Amino acid sequence: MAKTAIENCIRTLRFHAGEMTQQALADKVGVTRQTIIAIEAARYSPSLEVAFQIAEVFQVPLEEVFQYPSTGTAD
Amino acid sequence: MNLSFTEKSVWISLVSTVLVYGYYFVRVFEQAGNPDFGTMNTLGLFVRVVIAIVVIEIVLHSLMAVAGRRKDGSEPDQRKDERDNLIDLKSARIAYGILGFGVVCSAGGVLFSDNAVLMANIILFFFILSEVVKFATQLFYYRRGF
Repeated sequence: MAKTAIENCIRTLRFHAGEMTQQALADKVGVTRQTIIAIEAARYSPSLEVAFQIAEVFQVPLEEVFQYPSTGTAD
Repeated sequence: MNLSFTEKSVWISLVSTVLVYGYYFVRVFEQAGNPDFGTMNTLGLFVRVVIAIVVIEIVLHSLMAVAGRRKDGSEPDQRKDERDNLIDLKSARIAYGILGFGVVCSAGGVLFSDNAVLMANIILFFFILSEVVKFATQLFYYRRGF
């Protein structure tokens, strides 16, 4: 499966939010559960809007949810 | 396999389109060599095929909606989100290329045959082919991710 370059901590954040289900997160954000599954598995990079909405659900900054690891090519 | 309502819907459309229009094109191209091949030979068949595919899609989608009810009895999530729309757009772009190629080929075919019904069926064939490729591409993106 094709992985995106963006990593995330959604699974951990759901655990700390009282084991929030993927369906509950999907309902709060307004996407399908399959989209949350794809984002968690890094198979889909969400739009900025959805990314901010996910961060808002967990009450954390965006960079705590999503990370873009350096590839080491930039000077 | 965990499929969304939209993905299941694409599966239904793919299978019903391949089966129903596959039957139609086998029948049509069997008759294509006949000297009396004309409008009336295919029009009745085409109407029956269109009715069949509409009925099949309605029945299967209704069954899927009933079978997909959540544990609390609520309706399955049928909305399309940004991922569905993006996959739809990517697939449509590929299908458009196939349809365009088919239309150009059909237009060029006028040089070799003046049978309008045959030309119309060739254009229809490329249209259905583009639809099938669109559905298949959607399923590919749903499974592989991007």
